[in-house]
Amino acid sequence: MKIIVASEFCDMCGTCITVCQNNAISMHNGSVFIDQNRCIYCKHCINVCPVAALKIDKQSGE
Amino acid sequence: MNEQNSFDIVVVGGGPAGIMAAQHASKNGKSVCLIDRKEKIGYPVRCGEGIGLKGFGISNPIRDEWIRCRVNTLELFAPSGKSVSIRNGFNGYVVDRVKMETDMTNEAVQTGTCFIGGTEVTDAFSNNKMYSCVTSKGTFSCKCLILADGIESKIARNFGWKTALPLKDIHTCATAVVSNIAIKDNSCALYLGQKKAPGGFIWIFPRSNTSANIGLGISGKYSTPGKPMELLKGFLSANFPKATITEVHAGGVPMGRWVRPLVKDGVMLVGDSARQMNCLNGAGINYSLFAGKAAGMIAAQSINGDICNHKILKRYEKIWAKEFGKQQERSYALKEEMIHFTDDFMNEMADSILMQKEGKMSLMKLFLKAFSSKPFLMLKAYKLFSS
Repeated sequence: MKIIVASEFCDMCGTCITVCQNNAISMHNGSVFIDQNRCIYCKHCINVCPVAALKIDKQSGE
Repeated sequence: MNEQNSFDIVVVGGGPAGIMAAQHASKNGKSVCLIDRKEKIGYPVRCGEGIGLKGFGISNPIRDEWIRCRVNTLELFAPSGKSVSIRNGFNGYVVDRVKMETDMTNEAVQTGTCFIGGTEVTDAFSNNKMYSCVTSKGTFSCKCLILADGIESKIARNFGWKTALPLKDIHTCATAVVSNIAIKDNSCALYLGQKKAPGGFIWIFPRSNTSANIGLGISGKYSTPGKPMELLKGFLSANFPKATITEVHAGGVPMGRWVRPLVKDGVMLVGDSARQMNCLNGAGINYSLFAGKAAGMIAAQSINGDICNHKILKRYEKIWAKEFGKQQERSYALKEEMIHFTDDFMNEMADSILMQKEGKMSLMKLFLKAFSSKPFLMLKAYKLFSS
């Protein structure tokens, strides 16, 4: 399982970064990146995204 | 080290706080580099653009060309749709933030600030009493680092600050510019309701008598994916079905206590990054202008030759704490209570105020009434609104 960003919806507002408890999200060169090694799957980022640009990728097989 | 990239002070972030810090550090004779990631200064605007009269009075003179509207009334709508008019003590402006921040940045540049736009600071670290900021355009070093990098407050985490916000301490928001409408250009509106805007509110700030900044913020505690944008679109289609809607954006507003300490060694936090925000109404521009100015001036005072005196930097926190620290903490305490207000309670408040015909209503009177069963919070409300 991993959390992914649907870049077509993302407004680059940084709200996800603000609530990430383990500093797993960063934003540069016009994209949002999630460090899956740091992510603790608290899903705060998914719930606060104003435009639902973050979601769980159930097909990642991890 | 490339001497061209070495400054007394580097400011990360070119919003109101960062620009003010850079301006006042430059004006006080120090070499300053202001780095901002936005391609266009001030854009996009993730903000209602409202500011109280006092905000400009104490930090920066306002220019007429920055003012969209002068407002002197607040209509506060209860969930039922009934509204209370606040005319007593409600005075402010709706400003053009892009114009304002562009002009302020130009002023900083004219006083000597080196401005680097469209450039992100991807990393920052300390290195033998100096600080280094890594960007795609090179590494910039300084004796004192001012972090004004907004709500994400990401760089602060490199220096040990834990600035991630719990869900209850953030508003997740959606905003739009709404045109072809008919509104009063001297009046703001706020809509409350746990269905309309759970734990938060909807705002309408006039840009003119035919257009407004309309936005919605909900508590992170009650948020589900995409909820703010969904609720905003619902509100707009119900209330302004024929409007033209542009500049639709998402954003977050920090609703936590201001960060302590504000200074660690040679690093200072200002603005949204420092959570210097009124937690009742999401007003942050005035705090940012003040804190940025104080940080810039104190940073300049702290530097003598090659040395930055870190003890002097701590004066910035004292200045902030004295002017706005307690006020901000009171707003936080009241917010903690208000996110639990039920629609029934808010409707009862509105009915009671309207029935008693309270004369010229002020925000203080309203909040004292709302907290009348909690004397401790009444006192906080009284002190907040009389400061």
